[in-house]
Amino acid sequence: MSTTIIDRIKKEIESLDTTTQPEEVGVVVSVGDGIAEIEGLTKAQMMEMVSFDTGAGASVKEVMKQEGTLFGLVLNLEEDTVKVVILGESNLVKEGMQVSRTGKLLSVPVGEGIVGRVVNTLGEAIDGKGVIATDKNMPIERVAYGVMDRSSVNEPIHTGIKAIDSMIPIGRGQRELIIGDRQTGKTTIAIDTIINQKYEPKEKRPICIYVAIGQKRSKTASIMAKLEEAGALEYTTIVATSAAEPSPMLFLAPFAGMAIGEYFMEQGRDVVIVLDDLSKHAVAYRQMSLLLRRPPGREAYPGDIFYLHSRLLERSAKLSKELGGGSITALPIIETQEGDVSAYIPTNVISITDGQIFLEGDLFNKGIRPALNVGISVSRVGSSAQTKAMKKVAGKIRLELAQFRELEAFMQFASDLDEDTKKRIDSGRKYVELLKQKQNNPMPFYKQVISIYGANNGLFDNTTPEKVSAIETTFLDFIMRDRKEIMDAIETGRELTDELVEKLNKSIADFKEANANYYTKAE
Amino acid sequence: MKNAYVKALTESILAGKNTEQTLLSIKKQMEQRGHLRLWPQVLKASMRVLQARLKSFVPQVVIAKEGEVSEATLQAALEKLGATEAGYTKTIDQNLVGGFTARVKGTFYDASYKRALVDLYRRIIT
Repeated sequence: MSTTIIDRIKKEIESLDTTTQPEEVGVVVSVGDGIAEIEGLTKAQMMEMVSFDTGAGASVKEVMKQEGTLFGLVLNLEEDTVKVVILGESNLVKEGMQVSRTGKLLSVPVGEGIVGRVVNTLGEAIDGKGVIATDKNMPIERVAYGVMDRSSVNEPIHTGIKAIDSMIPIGRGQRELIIGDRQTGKTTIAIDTIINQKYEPKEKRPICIYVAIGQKRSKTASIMAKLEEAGALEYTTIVATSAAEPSPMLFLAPFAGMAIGEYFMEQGRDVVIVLDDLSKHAVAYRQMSLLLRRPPGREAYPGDIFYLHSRLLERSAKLSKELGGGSITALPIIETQEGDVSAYIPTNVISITDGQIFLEGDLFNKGIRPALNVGISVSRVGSSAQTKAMKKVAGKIRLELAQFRELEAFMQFASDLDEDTKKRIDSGRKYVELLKQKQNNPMPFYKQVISIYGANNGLFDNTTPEKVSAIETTFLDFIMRDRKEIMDAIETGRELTDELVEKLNKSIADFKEANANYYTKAE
Repeated sequence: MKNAYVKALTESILAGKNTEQTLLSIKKQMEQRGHLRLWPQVLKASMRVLQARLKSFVPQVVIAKEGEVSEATLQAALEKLGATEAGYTKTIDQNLVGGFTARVKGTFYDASYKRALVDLYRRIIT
């Protein structure tokens, strides 16, 4: 044993304080399905942590072998007993076991060291990279900031997805729901958003938190690998709970994620939190509530399921300048069944959030990815946060797509259509092609602006929709190589000045001249 | 239903009502309601509750070795926990290593070496 360790142990022994204080205790009267009923603990508070005395009757050696303290969380205060959810292995809890109050509300340890790590609901590292250095405990349940503490959403958060950043812009501090059936690309949008933050300048780059609620461990591992590969893990924290964990851990996971987010928000920093997904969260809460014998309501969910999600999402905010101006942007995910957005949980969360990104299985199967239904996707507050450059180019795209959707049904009668309708359909198809993007390939906003500007100003005229993607890539390469000053000016100025417009128009003309092979029809 | 009868029975007895009369009256009620089949279970559960309650009324002390902790120390600890009566039950648990634990109703005081050693161990390994 090295002398340093011996010194440390000696120091600990010298400073050991053996005095204790009397503590309030109760006794487990029944236990089952992860819920323990405890008699006593008359002064226990809601959401207080209690510790189970799993070491009673065991020797010191046996207690030392145990994996830390087994905690429970008080969730029901009844006349003679309290009901506690066990935050760990419930089979260790026995009838008659002594339970002590800790006097602490459930909290999660936080600090700079938590960034880039994978933690469980209790903030403990599960990535095998050692103990996380933390400097504070943040309560998991907390009242959201009030009206006077907040400011309006006025800064964009770029997702790197053209369809979203142009038509459904999201602002820092907004809550934007991502909703759709299984396998429609909901998580991909969230992950792309996280990856895209690497294009933000370091001082403005948000901390990202991905909360996996009841996900398969393989999925969480693959997300972690993707983020690491993209270099996005260095500014991301993953709060992971798997389907195999007890329902209270799943129920608490998004609250823990939000508590971590609040720590950074209070330092004046921006945070993006992905809650994947709240449907599983609602199911976990339903299971826990039924076991706690709370009365079931619609679809057997407890009556306070709306309050549960509203108080969670209300904690996402853009703080006023006086409070540092930090923000939490929430991207909750909801999985629908057969596209039914009118089910209980989807309607609840739609009404709580500031807009929704609706993904459709049909579009996904047609190869339109991201499978975004731009007709029913909305952002209620994001447009005020959009950059001037994007605002200038995005107006036309929405109109063109709306017209295309109306005319889409007539596409099969192509030969009978008049020239104007044909032109509109052709233009719409090109916009649809333009908005397609590969997975994990977010595009920085300045490139998006150039692409969409090009589409609005004849870059794709006299070509076929099939060539749109190739033309876009080549055009962006051309700008990057020969006209980089345009890209730099948009990135820094975030505006399309008359001078830039002129340069872009010239660039389009020059590009078309140099790449005539893409343009088969005569001008 | 069983729990309701148990609660009624134990609360009446703990409130100082005549035990025999209470038992008879609850049994009669159960018979009238057709719940007499639950009677053995109600009695068993009530016994358990009453025993636990009575046990919690009497201060309990656990020590590691006989004579290791002075009577004065134990009495002082019990007083600190609010014990009003002089009597207490004492048991020996060698796993405590040294020191003692005391419990009065819902309050617990752990002055054992076992706790101190486990605390020290956890502080060193984290």
